[in-house]
Amino acid sequence: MTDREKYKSAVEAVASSKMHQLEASDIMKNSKKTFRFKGLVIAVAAVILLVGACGAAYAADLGGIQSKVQLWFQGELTDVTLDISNNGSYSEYTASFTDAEGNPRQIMGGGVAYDFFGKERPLTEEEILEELNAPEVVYEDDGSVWVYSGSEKVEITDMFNEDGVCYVKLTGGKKPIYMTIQYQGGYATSRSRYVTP
Amino acid sequence: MRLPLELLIDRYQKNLFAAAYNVCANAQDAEDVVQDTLIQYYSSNKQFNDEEHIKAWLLRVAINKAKDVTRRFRWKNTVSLEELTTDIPFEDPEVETFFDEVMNLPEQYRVAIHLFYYEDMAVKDIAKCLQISEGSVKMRLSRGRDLLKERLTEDDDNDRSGKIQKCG
Repeated sequence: MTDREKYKSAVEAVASSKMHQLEASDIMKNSKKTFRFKGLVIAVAAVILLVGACGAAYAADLGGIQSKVQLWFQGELTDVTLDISNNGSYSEYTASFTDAEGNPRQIMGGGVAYDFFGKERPLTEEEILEELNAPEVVYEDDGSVWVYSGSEKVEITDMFNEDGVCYVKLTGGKKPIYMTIQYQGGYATSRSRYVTP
Repeated sequence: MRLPLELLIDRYQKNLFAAAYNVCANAQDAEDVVQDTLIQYYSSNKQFNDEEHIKAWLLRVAINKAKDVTRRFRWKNTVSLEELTTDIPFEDPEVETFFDEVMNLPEQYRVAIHLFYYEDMAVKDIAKCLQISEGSVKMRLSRGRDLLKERLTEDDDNDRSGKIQKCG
């Protein structure tokens, strides 16, 4: 018996003794549960989007700044309309663009910076662009995990250690970026060394 | 194109279970992975070129989901492989020893060996499925088979020395 035949025979034995026949109706039933859950997530996201959009419109009336910029989105250089409004001491921004599949997308955010004397000030456009251009960790539906930074795309699915931590060095920019990623739990970056989780 | 779930279950449930079991080394986890994979197929609107494309996609998703399971629930896999396979009626002891040794290989080698031996996949198809280069597949297959040969030879030697001691 060849090794291939031995392995096939063993797998047949495992499957016939351990596997239970699935029913399509069970899969469909469980899929509906998943859809309902997804629906809930979308509803929550829509509320946030609406509130965010109202905020942006209100701020725009007070005199926001709109600019056209190019940003990296999941490895693609993308044309983005960036609306920034300064609301007192903090900034709000909305980045609107069309993704590679033709879907309209919006990223919203905002923030505050502190000057030398500890006084709050709005973020500058440069600081907002830096935030939008920060590396992104994407968990795909098929279980794969990717890091996007500028034009760089790295699959890190198999790089997590037993504690669910992955260390990856991005070399696409002028200076390397050392990323420490906790599985489904955010990440830290440094220009000189890996940050210990 | 898309195919109905009933047909996919009929044709590929065993392939998906075998791939997931190869990664998880646990029948319950493997069954969960198969179910999640088929739910993902059913829930998505993804269109495929042909049936081979569907099978390749299902295998890839199942392997990735199985890897997720082993990462998230590593604590569950505390039962030894011998305990897991004792109640499986293998055709002969040689088959059982061979399977045990494949399952004792590091994950990256045994997944490549599974796709090569069980799915009869070519190196380029394994590379696509695992999203690695063809060179990496060749390296994993070669190192995996070398390790397997080494360990099976050790098993043979141990058996022989056991028999000699018994005779003596």
